[in-house]
Amino acid sequence: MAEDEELLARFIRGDEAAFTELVSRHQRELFTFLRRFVNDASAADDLFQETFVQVYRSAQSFDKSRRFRPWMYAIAANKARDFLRAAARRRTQSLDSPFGSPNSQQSLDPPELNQPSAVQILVEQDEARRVRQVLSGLPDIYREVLTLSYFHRFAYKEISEILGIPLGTVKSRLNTAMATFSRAWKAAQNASDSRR
Amino acid sequence: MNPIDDKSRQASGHEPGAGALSPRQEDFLNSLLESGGSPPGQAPAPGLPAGCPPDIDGQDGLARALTALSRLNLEEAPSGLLARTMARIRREQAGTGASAAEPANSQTRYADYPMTAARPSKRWLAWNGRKMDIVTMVVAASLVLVVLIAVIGKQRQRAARTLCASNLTSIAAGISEYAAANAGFLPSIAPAENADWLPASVAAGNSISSTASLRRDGNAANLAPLLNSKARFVSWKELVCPTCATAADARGHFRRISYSYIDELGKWNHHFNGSGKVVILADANPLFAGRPVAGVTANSFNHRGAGENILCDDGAVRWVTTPLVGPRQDNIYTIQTVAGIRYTGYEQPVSARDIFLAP
Repeated sequence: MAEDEELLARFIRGDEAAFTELVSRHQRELFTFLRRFVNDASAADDLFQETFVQVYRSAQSFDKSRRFRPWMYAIAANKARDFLRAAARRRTQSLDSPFGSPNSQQSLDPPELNQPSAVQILVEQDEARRVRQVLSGLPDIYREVLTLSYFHRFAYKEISEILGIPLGTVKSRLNTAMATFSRAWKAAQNASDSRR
Repeated sequence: MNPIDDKSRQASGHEPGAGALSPRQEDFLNSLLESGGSPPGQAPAPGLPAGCPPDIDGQDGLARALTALSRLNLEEAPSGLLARTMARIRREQAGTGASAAEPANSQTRYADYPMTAARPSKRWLAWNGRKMDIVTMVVAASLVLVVLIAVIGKQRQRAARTLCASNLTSIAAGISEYAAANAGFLPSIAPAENADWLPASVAAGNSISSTASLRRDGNAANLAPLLNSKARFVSWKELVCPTCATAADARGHFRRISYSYIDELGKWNHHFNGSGKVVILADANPLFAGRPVAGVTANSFNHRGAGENILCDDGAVRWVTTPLVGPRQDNIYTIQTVAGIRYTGYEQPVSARDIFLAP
């Protein structure tokens, strides 16, 4: 399978199919990243498109000595941050995605009741929803670093480049992010247990 | 050292199996622990590996958090996302007329993002943003300052013009009193023989041979009766325009007064309370100010060349924006027979209608 950088080079030479392959290859991972970043599926969809429009336009100026994936994530992270800033200004952004909202559609999808693991699936989906809720409750600066590090397995140096922050800041933010998430998760679990 | 080695795992009660961290979680946790540390001087919690992030309730808490995170798997991209993305690219490409080989404004747009060879750092961008803010503020402040200065300057000019007119009104009252006591004649001193009206400080066009007493102070010395008499018709202060030197500077020096007086050396003696068509005093004649002038129709420098206050022989004070006064448009600062602006000090008006305000 061709490397991302090779596909981009082919695209720059005029191979449009190579670009389609790039989009296809990263769509699931990048969409998930954006979805977790902005906690809004439709916004993530739009930001995904914007990211690749930007990649398309800026392909010529891509530094070939670097890797494609962190560059693409840098663009996506910037788009997402712009979106969150604009949303904060409009004060319409909801970070906790209550039940009934379009964002929680996936977790509301009824499980197939005739399957033997229906209860298990339901429990897992509920837990995933709560994890997503806790994650979305983290401050942006912690959520982005945790998402990039844990879910997308970027090295600290790459995260530093993607987010444009010093390496030491990445590390300290990750520590704080982990601690904050852990506390919030514990509190969410306690609250859940007390309701039962 | 691997922070989650078998020894520590056993010490904290973890056994390989359902409760253990997955290799992915271990990798993540190792990276995490390598990157951070407990606060200085603070001993790690019992059972917690050295360098574990603070505020996490032991290794179990961390493991629970990681397990929770692992609940979130990659989500499925919405159906048709690829097609929508490619369609949008084609749409925008058609809108800008750009192609893959020649992207539209790629350099400019890409400059917003990191990861290029010539990529500006975030700090630079932040500073650049702040710099733009500062520049904008400075420009705005400068504009406000310029407008304020202009407005304040105009207000000051207007105030000075009013005070100057007030001076002329006071002088008119003094002259009126003097004239009432002197058969209606304007104040003047008896000139010595061959006296000229140019003050000694003014460079004349030609050599001046006169050594008359008037020579030292020029035509302004004719105002002396207003000041020297016991009646004291006007004060020195009133002979100084607010835009010029202070009254203290002018005291005792006729050359320093801010107004030019009608030439009283000629054969025409002017009266007060006349027709109102004769200008007897005005802001200083610009032709003898020792500064370059645009021409014979220049205004007095007292008010930055914008115009002059004039006092007529009926006591009226007016602001005019040209020295050409009255229905005949006589220039109050020149003698009709003199072409140009060079005077010797001996020139005389050719008629009573030729008003000449001399320094």
